[in-house]
Amino acid sequence: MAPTDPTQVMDTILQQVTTADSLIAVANFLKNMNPKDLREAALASPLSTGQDPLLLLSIPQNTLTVLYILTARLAVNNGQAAPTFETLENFCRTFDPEQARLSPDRVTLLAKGIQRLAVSTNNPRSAILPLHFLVTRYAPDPSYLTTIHPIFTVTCLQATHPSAALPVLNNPITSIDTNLSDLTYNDNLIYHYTGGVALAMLKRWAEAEEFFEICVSAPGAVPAALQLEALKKLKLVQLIAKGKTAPLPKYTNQLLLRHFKATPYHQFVNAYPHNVEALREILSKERNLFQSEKNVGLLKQALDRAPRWALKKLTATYLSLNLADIGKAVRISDEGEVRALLLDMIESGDISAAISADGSVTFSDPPPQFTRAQVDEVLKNVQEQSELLEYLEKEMARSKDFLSKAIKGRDDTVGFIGADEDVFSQIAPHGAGIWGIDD
Amino acid sequence: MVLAPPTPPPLSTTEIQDAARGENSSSQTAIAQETQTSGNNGPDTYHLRFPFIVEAVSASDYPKVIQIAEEVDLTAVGNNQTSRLLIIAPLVLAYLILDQSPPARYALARLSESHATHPLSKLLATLLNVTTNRNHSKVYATAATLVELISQPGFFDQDLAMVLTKLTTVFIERFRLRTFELLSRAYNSLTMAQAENYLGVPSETILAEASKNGWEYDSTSQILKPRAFSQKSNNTTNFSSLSTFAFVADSVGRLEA
Repeated sequence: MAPTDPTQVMDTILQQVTTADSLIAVANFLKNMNPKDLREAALASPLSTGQDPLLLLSIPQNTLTVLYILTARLAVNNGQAAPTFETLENFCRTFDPEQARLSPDRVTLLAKGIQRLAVSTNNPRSAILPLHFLVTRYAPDPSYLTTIHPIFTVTCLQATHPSAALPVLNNPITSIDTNLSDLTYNDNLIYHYTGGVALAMLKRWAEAEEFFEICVSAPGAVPAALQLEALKKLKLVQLIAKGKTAPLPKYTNQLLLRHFKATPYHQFVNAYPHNVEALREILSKERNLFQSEKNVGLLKQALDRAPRWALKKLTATYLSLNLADIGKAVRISDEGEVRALLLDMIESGDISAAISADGSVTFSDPPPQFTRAQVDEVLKNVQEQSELLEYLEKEMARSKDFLSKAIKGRDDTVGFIGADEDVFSQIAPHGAGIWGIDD
Repeated sequence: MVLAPPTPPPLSTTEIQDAARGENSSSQTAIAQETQTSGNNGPDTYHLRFPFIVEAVSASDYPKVIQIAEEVDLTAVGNNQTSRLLIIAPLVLAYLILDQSPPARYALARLSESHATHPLSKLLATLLNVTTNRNHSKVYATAATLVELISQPGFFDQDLAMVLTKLTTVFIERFRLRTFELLSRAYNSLTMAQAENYLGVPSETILAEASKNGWEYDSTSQILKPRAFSQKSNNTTNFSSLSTFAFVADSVGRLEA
């Protein structure tokens, strides 16, 4: 008769995992143990001797087993106490990623458990380092999106620590592998949305814009509510950074734009930047809505920066003006404020101008600011990106989905737009191959 | 995981402070007990790691100060010990030295309510605001008030006082230098009174620095004429190096491939 006491079951588990002849065997054993609730209770229990099984296991060598034990302890309310953050951090620093990849769902559970534990102890900051190690060490390289990414960025925001997310956000996502991580559609949306929020908090507007745009333009049958929130923030970030909005990618769901046009944000964008009174009125009238959507900060920043875009427009028309005339054009009566605005714009590189003691301002074209090293760096970056694009194109052309759609398209006498003859000649090396019906 | 869009975090200063107060108010009793306990058990993590910050400050390695302080802030247990200011105060000033206001703002926002109302924290918040808004005369005045506060004999930690004094001095020097460079770019001519306001030093000091940098001064009209701050020439022809040759050869090779 199989044991039902969790501690005895734990003894069995320990014996099995330490004597198994392969990691695959360990993974299959742990995954397929039944009943599941007894498995979880056992994994959260000490051994029958009262000893903690973690003391007998090595994290790098027994990553899978330790992973199962930690996730069970994080999930089970009774039994062994939840692991400490020190234990969790130690695991995340030293686990063997290749072993962990044999159980991606368990890795997701671990990340969620760490986040939940931190929130329940009213200290979300404690989860940041363990999750940082987990997200940076788990995938084969930082270009892969995993389920840990959105959990990590949400945790950084909960802890009011956006700069902690930067080392992860600085690596663009270009790879998805559902064997590596049990990803869902929402993971991509949440990661890029929360990443955009973290970057906006740090006033890294160009990067925030990119992240929001990725969220907004993620393809889907119907737009997600999160995409509409991302669109609102995207528009505001564009107003703050450039004074105007930019068109969205063509593959953005058009329903999103229709929904956006029905919001007061659209009115705000239309009135920006010249009609400052209208902007203030919209902000005042819809304050409750903006507050509930947590966009008041961005709206205020956009409003504060409205005069600078009006000033910037002047530089296209005038070679020189005096401070009083500039003040009238941008509707700032205080000359000191105009001077401060000019100085701020010169410092941030928005305009190139020189102020004289008599109050006159001369505008000029900004001098080129680059070094040979920067040019070399850009060239190297372009070469790397071209290589990556070529590789991605070839990978896509080899994929089963693409080929089946391509055949279907050919059968429907629709041409292959963008098909690369060289690529297909490599796929069908024997001449006719899959295109050989008519040959 | 999250079924609805996650609530966007507060972005404005007011929203951040409200959220920080909301997070900390519910656990103050337990944390007060923890504070007493940690006080009775000797030095805590903040005290133990503070010497590393002192070392980085002595070496004038401000990115290192930030790295150490951020790591300690993430790993230390307990939010309400006054010793947390050993880490946060140098962190904020190090960010200001590097002219990175947003992370400094959030470092202060993470303080508990009891710390946020500490005179040191309030002065740092003021310094951060006036620096972000480039209110030059207030920057110098606030920095002076800060130095005055930490120089008082009753300041809660003398080692911290020394570190903060150095950091504040370095911050003011760097801020002044950045302002001087900006004035060189932004002004064809400015009055001595304006220069004093921007730089926070008397006219004799300004004249000495101005003449070192090629500015002109008309004593009759008291007008200074800045000369554009010298930058490394972008047009200097550097001799070709082996690394450039390797880069060019590699690029040609890729084109041929």
